[in-house]
Amino acid sequence: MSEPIKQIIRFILFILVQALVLSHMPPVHRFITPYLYFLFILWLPFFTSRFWVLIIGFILGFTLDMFTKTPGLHASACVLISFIRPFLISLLVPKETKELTLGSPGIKSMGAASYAVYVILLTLFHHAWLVFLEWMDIGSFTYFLGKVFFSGLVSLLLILVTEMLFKPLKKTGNR
Amino acid sequence: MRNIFILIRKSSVLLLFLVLQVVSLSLLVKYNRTHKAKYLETAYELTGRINKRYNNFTRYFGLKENNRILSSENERLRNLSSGNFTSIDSSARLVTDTTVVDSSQLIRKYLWRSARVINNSVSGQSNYITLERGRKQGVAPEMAVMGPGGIVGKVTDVSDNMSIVMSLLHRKSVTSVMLKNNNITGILDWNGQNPSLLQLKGVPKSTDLKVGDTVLTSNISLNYPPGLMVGTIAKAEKEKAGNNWLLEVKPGSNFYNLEYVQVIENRLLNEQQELENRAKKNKE
Repeated sequence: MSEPIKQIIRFILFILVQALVLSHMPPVHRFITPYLYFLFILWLPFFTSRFWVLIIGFILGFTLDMFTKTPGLHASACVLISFIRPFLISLLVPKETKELTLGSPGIKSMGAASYAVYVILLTLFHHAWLVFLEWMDIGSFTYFLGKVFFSGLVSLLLILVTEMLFKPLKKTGNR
Repeated sequence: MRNIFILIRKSSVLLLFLVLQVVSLSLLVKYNRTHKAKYLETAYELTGRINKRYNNFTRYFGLKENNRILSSENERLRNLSSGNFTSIDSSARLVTDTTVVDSSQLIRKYLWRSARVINNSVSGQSNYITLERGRKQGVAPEMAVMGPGGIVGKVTDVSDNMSIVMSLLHRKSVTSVMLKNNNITGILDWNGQNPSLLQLKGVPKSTDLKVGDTVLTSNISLNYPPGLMVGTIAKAEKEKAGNNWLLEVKPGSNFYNLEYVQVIENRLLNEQQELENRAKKNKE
């Protein structure tokens, strides 16, 4: 399958899973809201230019906003991590691999440690910004920290499961 | 001049980032202030259609519970119908004809319309419910919405075939309610923490109340007909500094499994608001 079509299908799947399944889960605790959709931005190929990552991030966030009826909230968080993504990649990935592989960020292309740092940092940024905006009008700092931490933890768990399901570490399989 | 162009080209990514960030934040701020946006109408129609498809599928899982709720509501309504009450007077004549002769010229004030819930959220800070009934089917903003167990919220925005309801579980939702026992009014809102508890403020400490008392919509609410079920008091504490009770109310309607609701139109709302505005203007 060609790259753009693959990405479009992935985009639709992520939005549907987030909007129809994850956002409808009855809250386990007031601190926990699982997010998975932003993994789409993390999985964009290396060769996507910074400019396009930003635009795609905005579109992704805004599409989800249409479902959750919070215009601008998720869009803002997505634009933020789209902006940070290239800096992290250039920090974590040696230049040669980035130029050689046409692949996207993953355990195979980056190594487990750097990939983990990449995912954890971006997840934290996303959640922190989202919860910060949500709680702008009244401030309860423990609430802010608690929600960022626990939602982040649940999201990371979900990402781990998704990784294991869709990106198995086979030598031949090249998704 | 050339330097400016070079600067712009060099920092185009940063500029785009700032522009997109400003756009999304201004959208957020604007929407939070008014809860209305023109461009969202088309989006509601589109996301509503997707939600409807999905809801058609998930509805089956709630069918059993829903039937139970409906039949219990039916039972309650049947018991209210006038056919159940007969007056057997001394002449032992059974009155079977219960047709009401309308001699006092009643005006219809509230009109109820049923609507299906196609999207519903409880997990966020600002929860909305999407109904599959819109402007063409007679729904307009400011109408009240009632579920099987109690009030649910009020309509904030409509498109042609869908409408958006601001649920009681919204940080900006404010409802005027009263205690059933002594008709003392207060303000019901939500602090965004626990979706199964709402906060009731403005009831003076001198009021006699206890946990378990029923809370109804007040006589002075604009949107809601008076005396609709809201919930029961779950926790009662006295304010340390102020003069009021700090009450937590357990909502009567279950926000987790809403399937069908009633949209209530107050047909005299415009008249009342106009009159009140005129009075305000005259005073100035």
